[in-house]
Amino acid sequence: MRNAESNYFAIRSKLSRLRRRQLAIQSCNGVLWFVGYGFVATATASLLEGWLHFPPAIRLPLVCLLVLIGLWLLVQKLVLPIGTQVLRPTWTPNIEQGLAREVGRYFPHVGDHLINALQVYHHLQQNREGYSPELSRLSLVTVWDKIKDLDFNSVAPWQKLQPVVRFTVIAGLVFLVSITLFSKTFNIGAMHLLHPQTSFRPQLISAWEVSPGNVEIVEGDSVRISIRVKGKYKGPILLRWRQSDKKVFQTKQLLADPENVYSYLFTNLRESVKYMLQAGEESSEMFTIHVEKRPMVRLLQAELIFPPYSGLESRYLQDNVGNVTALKGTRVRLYLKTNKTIKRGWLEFDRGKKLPLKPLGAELKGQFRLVRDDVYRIRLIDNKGYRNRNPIEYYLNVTADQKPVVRLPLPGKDVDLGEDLKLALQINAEDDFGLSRIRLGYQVQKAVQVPGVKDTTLRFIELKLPNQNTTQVQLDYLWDLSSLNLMPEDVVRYFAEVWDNDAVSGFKRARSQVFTARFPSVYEIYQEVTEAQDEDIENLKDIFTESQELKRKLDEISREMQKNPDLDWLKKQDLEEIAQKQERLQKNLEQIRRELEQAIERLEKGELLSQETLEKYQQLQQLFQEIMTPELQQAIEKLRKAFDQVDPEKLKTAVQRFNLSQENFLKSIERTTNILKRLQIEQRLDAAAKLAQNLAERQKLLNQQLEEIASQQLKELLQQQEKIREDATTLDQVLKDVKEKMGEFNDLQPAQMDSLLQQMQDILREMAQQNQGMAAGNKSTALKSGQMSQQDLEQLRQMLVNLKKNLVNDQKKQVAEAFARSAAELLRLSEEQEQLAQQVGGLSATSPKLNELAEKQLNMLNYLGKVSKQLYRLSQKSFFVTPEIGRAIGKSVSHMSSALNHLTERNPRAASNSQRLAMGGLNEAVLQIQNSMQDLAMAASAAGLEEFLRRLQKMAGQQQGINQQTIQLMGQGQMTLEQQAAMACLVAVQQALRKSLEQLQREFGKRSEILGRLDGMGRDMDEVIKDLQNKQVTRKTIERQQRILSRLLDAQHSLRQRDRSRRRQARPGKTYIVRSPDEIPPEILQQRERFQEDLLRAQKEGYAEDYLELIRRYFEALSREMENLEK
Amino acid sequence: MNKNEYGRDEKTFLFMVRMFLILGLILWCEGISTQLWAQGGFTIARVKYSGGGDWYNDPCIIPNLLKFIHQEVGIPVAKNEARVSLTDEALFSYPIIFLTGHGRIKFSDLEVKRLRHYLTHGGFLYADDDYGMDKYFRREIKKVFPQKKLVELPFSHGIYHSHFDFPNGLPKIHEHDGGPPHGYGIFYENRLVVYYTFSTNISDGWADPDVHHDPPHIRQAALQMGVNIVVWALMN
Repeated sequence: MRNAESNYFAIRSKLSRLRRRQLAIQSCNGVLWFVGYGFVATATASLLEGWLHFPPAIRLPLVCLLVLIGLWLLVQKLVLPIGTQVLRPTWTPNIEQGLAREVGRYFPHVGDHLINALQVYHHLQQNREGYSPELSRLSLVTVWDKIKDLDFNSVAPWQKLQPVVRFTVIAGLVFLVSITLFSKTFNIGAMHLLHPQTSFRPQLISAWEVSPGNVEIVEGDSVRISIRVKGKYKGPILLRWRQSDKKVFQTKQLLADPENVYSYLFTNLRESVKYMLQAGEESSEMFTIHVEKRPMVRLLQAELIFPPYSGLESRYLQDNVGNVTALKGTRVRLYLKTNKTIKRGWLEFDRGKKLPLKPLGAELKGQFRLVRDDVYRIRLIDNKGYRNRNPIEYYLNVTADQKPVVRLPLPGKDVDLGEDLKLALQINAEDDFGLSRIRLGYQVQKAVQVPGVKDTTLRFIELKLPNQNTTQVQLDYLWDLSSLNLMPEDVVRYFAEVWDNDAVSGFKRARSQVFTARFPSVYEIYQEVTEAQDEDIENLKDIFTESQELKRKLDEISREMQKNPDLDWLKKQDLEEIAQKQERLQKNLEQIRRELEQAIERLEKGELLSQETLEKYQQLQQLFQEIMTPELQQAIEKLRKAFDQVDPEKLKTAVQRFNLSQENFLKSIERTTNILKRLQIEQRLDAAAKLAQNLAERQKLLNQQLEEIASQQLKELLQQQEKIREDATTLDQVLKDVKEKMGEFNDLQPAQMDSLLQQMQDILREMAQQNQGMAAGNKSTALKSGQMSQQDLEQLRQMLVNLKKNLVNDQKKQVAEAFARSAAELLRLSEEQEQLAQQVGGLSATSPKLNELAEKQLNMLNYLGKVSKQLYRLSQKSFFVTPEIGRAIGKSVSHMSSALNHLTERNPRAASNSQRLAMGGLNEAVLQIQNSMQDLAMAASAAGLEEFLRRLQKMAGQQQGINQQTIQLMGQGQMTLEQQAAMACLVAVQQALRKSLEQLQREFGKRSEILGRLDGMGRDMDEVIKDLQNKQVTRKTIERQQRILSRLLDAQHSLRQRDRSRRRQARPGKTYIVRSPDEIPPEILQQRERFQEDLLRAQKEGYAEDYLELIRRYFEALSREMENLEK
Repeated sequence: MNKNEYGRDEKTFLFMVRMFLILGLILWCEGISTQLWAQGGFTIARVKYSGGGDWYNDPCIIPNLLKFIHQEVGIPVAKNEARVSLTDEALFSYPIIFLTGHGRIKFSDLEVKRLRHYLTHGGFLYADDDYGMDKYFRREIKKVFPQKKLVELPFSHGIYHSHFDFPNGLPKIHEHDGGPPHGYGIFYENRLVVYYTFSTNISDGWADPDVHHDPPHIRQAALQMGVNIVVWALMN
C-alpha cells in the first residue's frame, strides 16, 4: 500500500506541475489578446476620429463599443479561464483525471492507463466493493513506470502562444506606425476619444509643411523658412522663435503669398534658434535651426624679435594687434587662440605666399620674417570643414633703417690752419639704431707739386667710437696735421664718414659735408695785414690832420666869441660843419678799429705775433675806446642844442666844452697813432722772425730734396726755389721797412738793423747762386749755397728775435726809468708841498713871508708842469700812463694854482688848505704811477688769454694721448710686464695732467673759473687715476677720459667765442628798420595743444605703438585740415 | 515807506558790503605778498648747465636788472641772482629762470624732463644768446619740446609793451654778426613759456657801464626790455 500511495503522489505531483503550467499559459494568452486588441482598437479609433472627427453622438457609442469589446475579451480570455481555475478546489479527482486524460491523449502509449489507474485508486480509497487493491497498486506501479520519465511540460508547450503573440506584435507595430506617421492625427483623435462627450470644433489646419524645418547652418548664414498650411486655414500665421539658450520668444506675423506660402528670412544667424508656427489655437511642432560657429581667432598675440644689430629687446604687441611696423629682418611670432578645434590654419600674404600654422586643438602658432611691406590674413578650417569668414587684413610695414647722419659742426666751415697745424674737430653722428664705424677722410692738394709725385689718394683715419652701437656720438678730435708735411698754400679736403650697424640690409654709410683746411702762407697773411695796417695808419694821420684843422677853426671861433658872444649865421654854419665832420671822423675811427681787429685776428692765426705784441694790441683796442669818449659826443649834442638857444653865454660854454673835448680827441689820436706805429715795429719784427723761420724750414726741405734727386732733375725743383727766393725778397723788404719805421722815433736806433740787412743780402746772394746752380744742373753748388742760406736764415731769425727782445726790454727799461724819475720828482714835490703848507698855515695874512712862499709855490707849479709834460711824452710810447695818473696830476695843478691865488690874495688859511689838497693829488699820482710800474713789471710774465688757451690745448693733446693708449690697454686680462710698465706710465701722465689742471686754476685765477665750473673734471681725473692704478680699465674709465677731453676742448671753444664776443660786443647795436614778424598762428597757441593732450591721453590709455602712430597721424591730418579750412 | 525805496537802499547796502569785502581781500593779498617779498624779495635764477658754455658770465647783470625793476616797478627785489641747476629741487621756487652763455649747452635727459615739467607747470625761461650759443640752445630746447617750434614774436606781442613800449620789437644792444635782433618764443597752452633773444644780447646791456662801455641809451633800452620780460612773465 505504501508503494501505491507513493506512486500516486508522485503522479499527482507531476500532474500538479502540469496544471500550474497550463494556468500560466492561459494567463499570458488572455493578456496578449487584450493588449493586442488595445493596440488595434486605440490606433484605429484614434485615427478614425482624427481624420473623421466624429460627433459625440457617434463617438460615445463607438468608445463604449470598443471598451465593451475590450472587457469581453478580458473576461473571455483571461478572467474566466483563470477565475475558473482559481475558484475551483485546489485538487479534485476530476481535475486530476482531466489532466490524466490530456496526458494520455498526448502520450499514446500512456493512453487511458493513467486515468484508469487513478480511477481505480480513488475507488479503492472509497472502499468500493469489487476493486482489487492489488490491482490498483499494480496499475499505479505500472503507470508510474510508464510516466515517470515523461516530460509533462510538453503537454502544455509555450508554443501554443505563438498566434496570439504574433497578433499582439503586429497590433503593436501598427500602433507605433500610426502614432509615428500620423502623430498629430493620432493625438487629436486620442484626445477626442478621451473626451467622447465633448464637442470639438472642426480643425482648419490639417498639417504644417515647414521647409527646411529642422536645419543646421554655419554662423552668419541666413535661412529662409517657407511654410505651407494644409487645410482650410487662410489667414496670417504667427512665427515664434527664440535663441536656444533663452526662454523668451519673439514673434512675427506672417502673411501668405498668392501661392499660399508663408515665408520668413532669418539673416546672419549667430546663435541656434528654435521656432514654431501658430495659427489661432493650432500650432506647429517646434523646429530648430542649429547654428554651427565658424572658426575664428579669439586671441592673437604677435611677438616681435628684432634683428640683433638693432639692440632692441623682443616685445609683444598688444593683444589682437597684428599690424606690424618694424625693422627689416624682424621675426614675427604669432600665437593664436580660436573658438574651436581647428583642423588646418595658414597665413595668406598678398604677395602670394602661404605660410602654414601649426594647429594644436584650439590654438595655432607660426612665425615669419619681415622682409617687405605686405598684407596678411589668417585662414582657418575647422573639423567640419567650415572656414573663417572675412579674415582681418593685417599690414606689415618695414621700417627703413635710416641712413646715419654725420656733421662736422666744429669748425663747420672752411678754415685756415694755424701754425701748430692742429685742427680741433667735433664730429656729431647719429643713427637710429647704432653706429658701427667712424672715420675721418682727407685728401691733400699740394700747392707745389713734388717732382714725380702727384698724390690724390684719399686717406682715412679710423676713429674710435666711445661705444659700439651707440646711436648718437659727439666726438671731439684734435687732428694733428703735422705728419702730412703740409707746405704753405696746401689744402686739405676732409670729411667725416660713418657706418650704421645694419647687418640685415647692409651697413649704410654717410659722409659729412666736405670742408677744407688751408695752410696759408705766412707771406700772404703778412702782406695782407701790413697793407691794411699801413692804410689804417695813413687814415689815422688823415684824421689827425683833419682834427687839427677842425681844432684850429674851433679856436678861431672861440676867440671871436670872446670878443663878441653873438655868432652870426655863417659862423654857426661853420660850427655845425665842424660838429658834422667830427662825427664823421669818429665813424672813420671806428672803421679803423674794426679793420685793425681783423688784422690782428689774421696775424694771431698765422702766429705772426708774439704773445707780448698781441696783448699790446688788445690794449690798443682799449685806447681806441678812450678816443671815442661819450663826453665828445655829448659835447657835440650840447653844441647843437645851444644853436637853438638865444643865450649867447650858453653857446659860448658849449663851444668851449666842445673845444676841450676836441683837444682831448686830438691828443688821444696822436697818442694812439704813435703807439700803433711803435707796435707796428714790434709786430713787424715778430713777423720777420717768423718769416725767417719759415724760409729756413722751406730751405731745409729743399736741400733735403736736392740731396735725394739726380742732377738732371734739379730743374724740377727750380720753381720751388724761386718761390723761396721771392719770399726772401719780401723779408728783405720787411727789414727795410722796419728800419725806416724805427727812424721815425728818436729813442730807437735804426742802425741796429744794418747788420740784419747785411745778413739778408748774403742770404739773397746765396739763393741767387743756388738758383744758378740748379739751372745749370750743378747739384753740389746748388746744395752748398742752399745749406749756407739755410744757416744764415736761422741765424737771421735768432738775430730778429734778439733785436725784438732788446727793443722791448729797452722800451720797458726807459718807461720804468721815466716812471721812477717822475714818481721821485712827484714825491719830492709832495714833501715840499707839505712843508710849504705847514709854513703857510702858521702865517698871518700880514706876514711879509707870504710873497716869498708864493714864489716858491709858483716854482713848484712850474716844476709839476714839467713832470706832467714828461709823462705826456711817455704816454706816447706806453700804455701804462693811465688816465688816472693824468687826472691826479691835473688835480694837483688845479689846487696849486688855487693855493697860489690865495697866497697872492694874502689868504694863508685857504692857501694852506689848497696846498694840502695839491699834496693829496701828488700822492695819488705817485700811487697810480707805482701801480703802473707794477703792471709794467708784471707785463713781461703775465699770461693772457692766449697763454691760457695754449695751456688748455696742450692739456687736451696730452689727454687725447692718454685716452688712446688706455683704449689699447683695455681688456688685456693678464698684463705683460711691458703692458704693466705702460700702464704705470699712463698713471704718471694722468697725475701730471691733474696737477697741471690745479696749477692752471691757481695761475689764471678768475679766468680759470671755466675749469672750476666744469664740475667734476678733477674728480673724473682722480677716478681715472684710481682705475689705472688698480689696472681696472673699464668702459666707464674710457667714458670718463672722453668726458675730460671733451670738456677741455669745449672750454677752449667757449673761451674763444667769449673773447671774440668781448672784442665784438664793444660795438653797440645799430638801429635796424625791419618789418614785424607775422602774427602767431592760432594753432601754435591752442590747437596743437589740444591735439597733443589728446595724443598724451591716448598714450596713457595704453594703446599699442602702432595705433599711437596712427593716432598721431590722425591728429596731424586733423590739424592740417583745420589749417586749410582757416585759409 | 515805499517798497521801491527799500529795494534801492538794500542794493546800495549790498554793493557797499561787496566793495568792502573786495577791498579787504586785496589788502590781505597785498599784505601777504609784501610779507613774502620782505622775506628775500623777487629774484631771477640763472641756469647752471653743462656742455662747456660760460653760464656764469657777467655776474653783475641780474643784480642790475633787479635794481632797475625795483626802481621802475616798485616790487621788492633780492640783491643777488639765484643759481640753479635744472635738476635742483629749488628750480620750482623761481618763477623766472635765465640762461645765457657763449658756447655749448648740453642738457641731460633728466634735465630735459625737469625743464619741460617746470615750463609746463607755470615756469618761464628767458634765454639770451651772448654770441655762439644759438645752435646749441636751439638743439637743446628742441629736446625739451620736440613738437614745438621757436616762433618769432610779432612786434604787437605783449612782451614788447608790458611795461615799456617797444613798437619796433627788440632793441639792438650789441652787434655781434650784425643784422636785426630776433625774439623767439615757445608757447604752451597759449602761454609764452620760453623767450629767446638772438643777435642783440639784451642781458649784456644790463652789465655795469664800464664792462661793455655801452652808451647810456642802449643800456637803458636793455634794462627796459628786461623789465618787460620780467613783467610779462610774472603777469602771464
